[in-house]
Amino acid sequence: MDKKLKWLIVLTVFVVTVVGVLLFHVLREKPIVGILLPTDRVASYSDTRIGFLSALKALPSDVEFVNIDYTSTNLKSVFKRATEKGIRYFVGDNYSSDVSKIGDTLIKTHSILIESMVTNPVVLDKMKYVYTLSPTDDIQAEAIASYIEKKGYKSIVIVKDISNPEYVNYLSEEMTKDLKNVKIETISMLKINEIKATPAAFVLIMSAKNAVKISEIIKSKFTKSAVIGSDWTFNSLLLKNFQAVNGMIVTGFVDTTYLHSKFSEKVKKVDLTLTPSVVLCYDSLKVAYRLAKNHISAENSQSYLETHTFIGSIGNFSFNGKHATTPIYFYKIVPFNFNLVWKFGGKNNEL
Amino acid sequence: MSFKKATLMVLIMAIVLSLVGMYFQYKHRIGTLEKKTVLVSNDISEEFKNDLSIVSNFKIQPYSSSSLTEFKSFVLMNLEGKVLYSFNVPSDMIGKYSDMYKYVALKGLYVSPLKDGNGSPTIFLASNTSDGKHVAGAEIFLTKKIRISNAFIVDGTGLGVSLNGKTQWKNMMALIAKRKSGAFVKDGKLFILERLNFGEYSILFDFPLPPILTSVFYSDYIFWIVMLLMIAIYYIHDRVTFKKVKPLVDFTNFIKNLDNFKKYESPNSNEVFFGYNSLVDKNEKMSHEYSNLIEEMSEINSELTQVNHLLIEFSMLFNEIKANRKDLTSALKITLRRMLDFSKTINGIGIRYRDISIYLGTVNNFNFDRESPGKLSMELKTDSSTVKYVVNLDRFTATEKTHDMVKMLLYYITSFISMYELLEQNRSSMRYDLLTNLLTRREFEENAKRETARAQRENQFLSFIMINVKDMNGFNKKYGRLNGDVLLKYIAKAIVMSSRFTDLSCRYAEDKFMLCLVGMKKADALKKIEEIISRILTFRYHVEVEYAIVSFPSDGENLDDLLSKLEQNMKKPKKE
Repeated sequence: MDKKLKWLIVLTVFVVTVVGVLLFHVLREKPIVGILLPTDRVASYSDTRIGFLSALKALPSDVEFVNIDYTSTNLKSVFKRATEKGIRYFVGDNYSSDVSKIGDTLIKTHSILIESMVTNPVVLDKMKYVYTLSPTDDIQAEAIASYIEKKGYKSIVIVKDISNPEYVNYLSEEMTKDLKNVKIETISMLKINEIKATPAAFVLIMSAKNAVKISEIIKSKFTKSAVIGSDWTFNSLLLKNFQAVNGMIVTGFVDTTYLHSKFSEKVKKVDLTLTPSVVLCYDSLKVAYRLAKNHISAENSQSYLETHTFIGSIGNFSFNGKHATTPIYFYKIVPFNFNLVWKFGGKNNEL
Repeated sequence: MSFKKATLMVLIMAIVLSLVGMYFQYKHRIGTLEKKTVLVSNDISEEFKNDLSIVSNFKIQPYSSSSLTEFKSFVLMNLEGKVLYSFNVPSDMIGKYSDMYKYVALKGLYVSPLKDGNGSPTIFLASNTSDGKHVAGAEIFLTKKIRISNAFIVDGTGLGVSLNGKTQWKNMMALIAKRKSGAFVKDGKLFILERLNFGEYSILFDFPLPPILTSVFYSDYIFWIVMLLMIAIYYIHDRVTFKKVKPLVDFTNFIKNLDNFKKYESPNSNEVFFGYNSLVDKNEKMSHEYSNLIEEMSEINSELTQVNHLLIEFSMLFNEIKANRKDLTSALKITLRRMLDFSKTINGIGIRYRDISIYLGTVNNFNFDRESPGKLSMELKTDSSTVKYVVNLDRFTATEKTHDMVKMLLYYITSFISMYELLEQNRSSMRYDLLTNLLTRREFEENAKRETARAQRENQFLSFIMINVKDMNGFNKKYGRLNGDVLLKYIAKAIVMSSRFTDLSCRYAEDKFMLCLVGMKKADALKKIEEIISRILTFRYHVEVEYAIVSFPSDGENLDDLLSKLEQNMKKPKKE
């Protein structure tokens, strides 16, 4: 055989092998979804983790998921590092104020973030590629205002948390705008002891942990006043402290009575209480999976979400702009459980 | 087998063996690590079970400690969920509505997920007491006695906490979701997951992968030994070969040194040395140019030799055509194929000549007429037609010299085609009379002989007619030579029109025509001649003709007799 031909064959085999290996590597490379969760508030995120873990077990392996842990101090740098590694799809259960911190990097790197519980429309409008599974706070404020009007409460006190100010302030302001014939007083949770006149109802816009503390004070001082909480307040921590919050009305975005029994059983292996947060996290991870699997770019993400229907843990849902279309449910807290009492949105408002 | 092949085989075998060895080493190491992790996970499971046993037997002493965990708080309830005794347990965790009570009522056991007990990870355990009359629970925290630097205990929600003595929380849902247990590699780390036989808990170990791989690589000593042996063999082999060829190398170097002038190197260089050195420089430059020239000439020579071979081959092909052993199309195909193979610079070649179209390589019917870079298009005239060539040349390697060479070959092929055309013409003129397009006398006589023989063999009739133009010279003088030629053509046409496809007709002499009517009797031939003559007489000028008819076998048995009788029996037509 000709010497040149021999070298040519050797070179061809080498090149084909190298290209083959590279192609194999590239073909095997799956899209990655980063799961953003904090590690300095582990107790509050038990529901979130259960929701995400259940979805991860149920989804196929054609998309890779990675945990991205952060603390409230290093979120910005952790997120930046994740985008530098090439991750462009994220899912999380963060505060509105946390999302604001990573907004710049998100837009700059054209990354998509699917949130289960971010509800502030101002934050969502500012953050180009952030979507939420929950209805926005303007809708929630309208829902709470409608509930107050239906119940005929003439005076209310809105008690605000000192953290997560973007969410807290927006919701209280919207509620004030929606309530026309109701006397409203808005105070910080630190000034709860300064209230003198007994209002018909308290609206607590705060975390479950703080809601438990404030509810104890309200129960001791204003025995006849009703207590209403927002979606932020509603998680398993609240249920476990039911003595303090028994009878409290809270909002949520899922009717857990219609959950698939297999799903409930899986969750109950770990925790008996299945809160809306678990379901929203489950659904948000599924949405992120669909986007990553189909390699949807940030620019096309909104049109994709608006034109597709998603199969959720309860039923089908779709997106309207930046948020998913779901009614707002009002639950009453009973010992270690909650009962559905009213629904705002959907086909009919029911009481 | 040669030394080279043998060493190559040994090397391949060594690599294969080493790869197999490395795989088993890797599996062995992972197996060892898995065994260790199983032991650790069993210890922790046992510890938790022991704690649970203490709880169920309700033998808890406040702050009683075991080796790995410590009790932080405990509670005793009756079967209705009424708290009988509690120590240090928050009220929201106990009572008949608590998770603990519900789980124990449903399953007889409760193991909570990990909780953050003011900085320490805690777990709440509860079960029915051994007497079956109570529900007992206790909160335990993991002491810092469990010290495993690279392990995490993970609960059913996917939350992990390190066992390295420092409380370090980590979300691990993505890592454990799809895996039941065993080893897996992720992000450059080797993870080993072991499910604890206790609640929904697991233990996850992580090991950096590079040290494991490095140790596996170095442990594969077979590979290194073989490699060392190979190097040693090669060294020895090289030395032996070197000794053998050393005198030859020395001699070559000596000859090389003789050929070259050397520069004179001296610190005290003066004008003479300077002049000498510049002469050496010039000499070296000239030698270099000379060697380049020689190289170029040898290249040209080799190409010319190839061209000569081609030309010889083309000539031989033409000879084949001449001898009727090949037709022009197949000869052209071969010629073009040879040209395509002649140089790598020629990527394609095509030709169009009369109804012949041949395309080879990158030239095809569609791109033949299209302009493109590197395309050489030539239209050359042959003797009676034109031939078009298209040659696709590699535009990066084609030089002016290549263009010239290709053009020369194409001219050469064209000259062969011209020669072919002349040959064809020549062949045609030998058979047919150029003016009347009837057979020549020679061709007619050959065919007539064959027909006479056939008539004899098959006992058939055969008639011959001769037509003679009387006073052709007079006609030419009177009406001109051109009209004379027209008359001859007119007669030929009249003959052809009246003859059958199987009949033979020829211009027998300048003013004589002959017709051989196969299978026809004399009487029928007579009708035929009348028809022909009546046509001839319609010519625009006055013509006088005479004719003769003879038939086989009545007028003669062979062709010579018949033809001589024809000459003798010439007569004028009746209705002239």
